[in-house]
Amino acid sequence: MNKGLLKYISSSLLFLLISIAAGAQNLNQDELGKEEKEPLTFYGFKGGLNIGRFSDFIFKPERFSLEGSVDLNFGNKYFAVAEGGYSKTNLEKDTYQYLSNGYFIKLGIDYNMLKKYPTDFLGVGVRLAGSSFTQDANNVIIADEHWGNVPVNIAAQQVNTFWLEGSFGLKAEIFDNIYLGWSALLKIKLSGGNPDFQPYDIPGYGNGINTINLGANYYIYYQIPYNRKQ
Amino acid sequence: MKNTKFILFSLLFLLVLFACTDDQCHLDTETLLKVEMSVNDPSTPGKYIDSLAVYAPEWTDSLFYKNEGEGKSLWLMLSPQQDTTTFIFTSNLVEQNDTLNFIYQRKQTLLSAECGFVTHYTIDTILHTKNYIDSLFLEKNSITTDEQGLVKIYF
Repeated sequence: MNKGLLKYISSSLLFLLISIAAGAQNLNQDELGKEEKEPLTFYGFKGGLNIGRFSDFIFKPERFSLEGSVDLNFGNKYFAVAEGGYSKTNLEKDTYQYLSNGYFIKLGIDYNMLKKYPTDFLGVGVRLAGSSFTQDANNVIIADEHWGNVPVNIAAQQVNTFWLEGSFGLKAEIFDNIYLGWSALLKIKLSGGNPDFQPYDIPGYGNGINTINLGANYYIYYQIPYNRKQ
Repeated sequence: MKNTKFILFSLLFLLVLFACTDDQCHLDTETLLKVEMSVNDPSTPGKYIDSLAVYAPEWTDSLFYKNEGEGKSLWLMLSPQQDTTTFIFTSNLVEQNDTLNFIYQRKQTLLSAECGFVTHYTIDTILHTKNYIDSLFLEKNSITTDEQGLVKIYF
């Protein structure tokens, strides 16, 4: 892992910790009774589509993927979030062809640190995520001047992986009930994969060779107008 | 919320830039077996190693110590296409050859998207003739891009 990436990860972690600490401080003030604590009213849910995935057409043309989300709003402060998607990869290189195809799901919570504009969101989140997919490789050539270039195939295999995901992001109501938002992601692989054939792309996680991946989501959401707090 | 919306769109651009990656392979892709040699037997010509050539029956050429060797060592790549490799050690200073048979396990490993696949080896056994080879020791049987295998041969 290069020094630039380490620096980015450590600064991201520091930023996340500061954000969480700031949120925790506000919670403590509430608990001390300086502000009367509101019950966690259910304010409906948002459905979202990850429009960032469409950037694959430019940045990762070998991958086609879709991702959506549903979040349940409790008091504009806590959100129960479910995200899921599908990803298919067909990477063709001079020395191999890699194929993968599978699904992922992420479950977790978001915490909104905003108090002044409660229908918008600025906060942190955590997810437990899993993916199940198949992968194989064809026409694999190990180039060598003496042994020649004889292609081999690697049989299809089923892979299950799990990872933990931390996020920091924003969601702003651009029009009535329409939100646009992004989040920066830090993903830490917990288990799964195959040490001899690490996936080029784990659906929802990214490069399977890395134990830690960074990422970003760009979502558009529609808020179901139910019991909204303005 | 104007500030939030400003941050939203400005960071959108920065994060898209962050998604860009380099498409070059910057990793070492070689998986080699180091063969350290020394001549102890006085009946073996002193210049035996300097005149040594190594080849596999499947090759169309040979590997010459004088061109590829260094410090009484040669670096060989086992066959990535089968689980055994035969190397023949020959020299124009002697009449007979020595044959080494490597028996091993292979694993194709995806090093990275940019570098593609490499073969990692675990050597189980080495069988050899004893025309000029006095003894042979398998010091490190694992060959990956991170570590070379090591065989010591005494003539």
